[in-house]
Amino acid sequence: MEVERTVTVSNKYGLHARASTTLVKTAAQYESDVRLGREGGDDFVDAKSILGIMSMGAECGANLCLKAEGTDATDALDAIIDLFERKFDEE
Amino acid sequence: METIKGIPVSPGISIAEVALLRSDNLRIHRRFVAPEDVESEVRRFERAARKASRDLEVQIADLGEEFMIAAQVLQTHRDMLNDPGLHSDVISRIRDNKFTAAYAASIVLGEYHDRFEQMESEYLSERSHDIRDIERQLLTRILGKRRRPRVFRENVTVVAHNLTPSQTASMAKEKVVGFAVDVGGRTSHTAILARALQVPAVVGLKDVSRKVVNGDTLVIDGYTGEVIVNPDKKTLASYRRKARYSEKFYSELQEEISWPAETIDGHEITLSANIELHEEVATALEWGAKGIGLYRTEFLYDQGFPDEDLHFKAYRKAVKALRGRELVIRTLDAGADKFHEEFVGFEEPNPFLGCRSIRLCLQEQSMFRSQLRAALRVSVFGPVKIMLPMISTIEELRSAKSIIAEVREELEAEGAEMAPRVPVGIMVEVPSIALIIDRVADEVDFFSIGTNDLVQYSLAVDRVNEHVAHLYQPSHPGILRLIGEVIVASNRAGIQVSICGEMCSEPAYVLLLMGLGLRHFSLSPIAIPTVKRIIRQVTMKEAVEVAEQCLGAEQSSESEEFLARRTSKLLPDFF
Repeated sequence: MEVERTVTVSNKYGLHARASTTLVKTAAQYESDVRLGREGGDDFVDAKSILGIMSMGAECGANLCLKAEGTDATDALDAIIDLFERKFDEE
Repeated sequence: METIKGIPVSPGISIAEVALLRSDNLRIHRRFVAPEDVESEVRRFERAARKASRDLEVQIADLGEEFMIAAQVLQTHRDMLNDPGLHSDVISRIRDNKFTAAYAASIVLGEYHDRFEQMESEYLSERSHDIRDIERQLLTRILGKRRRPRVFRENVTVVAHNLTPSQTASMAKEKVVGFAVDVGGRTSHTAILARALQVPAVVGLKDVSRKVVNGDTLVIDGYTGEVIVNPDKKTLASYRRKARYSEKFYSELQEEISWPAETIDGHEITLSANIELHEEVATALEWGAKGIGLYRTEFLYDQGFPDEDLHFKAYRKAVKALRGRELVIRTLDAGADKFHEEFVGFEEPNPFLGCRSIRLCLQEQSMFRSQLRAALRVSVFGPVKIMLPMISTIEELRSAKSIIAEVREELEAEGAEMAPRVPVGIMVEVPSIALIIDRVADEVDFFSIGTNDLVQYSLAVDRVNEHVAHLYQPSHPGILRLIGEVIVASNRAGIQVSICGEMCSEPAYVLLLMGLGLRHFSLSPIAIPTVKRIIRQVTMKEAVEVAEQCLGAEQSSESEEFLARRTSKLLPDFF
């Protein structure tokens, strides 16, 4: 199963070290392959790779596209989008 | 004794012995493995990554809850070391290219390092140091070495070229009283940790690690960013004093930072800051600056003439950090003597009267244009003004202004966005221009009196020459008359005039300058709260009386005594 969703980075510092760590931890709980990239762009990184996520340099306000493929793809994206919506519990 | 200037990132004064930390450079050469050894090389990498990650676990547990900030740094490193993307990249280099584990790891991490380093966000580009750090930890394990953490004696100042994040973190529990580091910015780990530990730190010192040896005495002034190597007795005594009163004094002043700089009878004075590095904007705002009245750009010329992009990036960072407050960019104010001959093509026999500042810029126009292009381009991000130093004739001013107009047209033709108007002003620091200020007023948007040079040029005194330094007298009645006339003429013409020399950071001169009619001060960030405290305790009437008294004095010593007496009543802690 393949799922695709979009999300806006809304925590103050963007995907810096701590937010990226949380994102990786969450993605790693699912079997599906999860990838993210800038909306409209071609470069996607593995959501289980902290180096990949940080090197996107996604700042507050950036629009991202999330793709998941696998048996638990929908659950994985739900959990990740929830993180973004909770602003990674930063504020 | 030597003074080095860097970026203050954690306030306080420390005086202690140096503990120099050298970085161990691991040189990795390109080496290949035989096809039959590839899989064992892959296992070697995986084993090393596991061990390096376990080393970090031990350190994290050791730091515990108490040193959370340091522990978080190491947790991120551990996650990076366990990154599946990193592992698959390194393994495919070993399998596809037959590289050794060490070479494959250094190539892959080198690529990540460069990608981070080029990032626009200061925070993310600082993370390139984390990548270097995990590279070293990984390589140490691959090569079968083991790093022993250094144990410090108590109360030392750590000096290093670049403290790696893990080195910084491991120091959290040591008795380190200060940090002085060659590289880094406000968001470096050294800065963050030093603030958390409440010890003074200065970064961006360029070569302090090459200028000291173990056992040297080092003063770190975390307020001004000055670091003094082996201070003489007098300097040491003055810093001991400053260290004693500063803690109490500055913590009191902190509360006053948001208060307006207004006299008892309601005259408001604008206090802006002088900075040398865009990183200092944050410090300036923390101390209550209303904007940046003088951004010295000479640091950008350290490696010769910078290109437009280097100017642009630095200015943009400063403008953005100011969030709508004003930035006055001063064009290059250095002499030909500062540059290697290959840039200017001649030797400079008498730098202070030679080809410097605007004179050099008008000769080296392509260099001047790069700086102006960058200054005009950043005007789209926030209010920017351009300030021309060392103008001595109206012709120079006109030439510079016509170049600015040409550069603007050029940018417009290219479709670059700019503010519709970028004010242009001059530094008043050559007596000839001060004396015809009323005529210059029609052609500029603002004046800023550079008292350091104005005093020096008017009195024909080199203030760093110890044999004549006593003749450097900012309160010389002739100087006061000159400054007073510039202020009065500017106010009459309705043109903003400020002072950006050290004179207005000096508490004793505050009342005097206000009395001469000055309403805009641009001073070192740390001096702002002190100057504000004086302003808030006086009336403008008192200030005018003080100015009249000094203008009427026969010699500078009379005024100095009188001013010291007045000021000591206003700032009893300071004297």
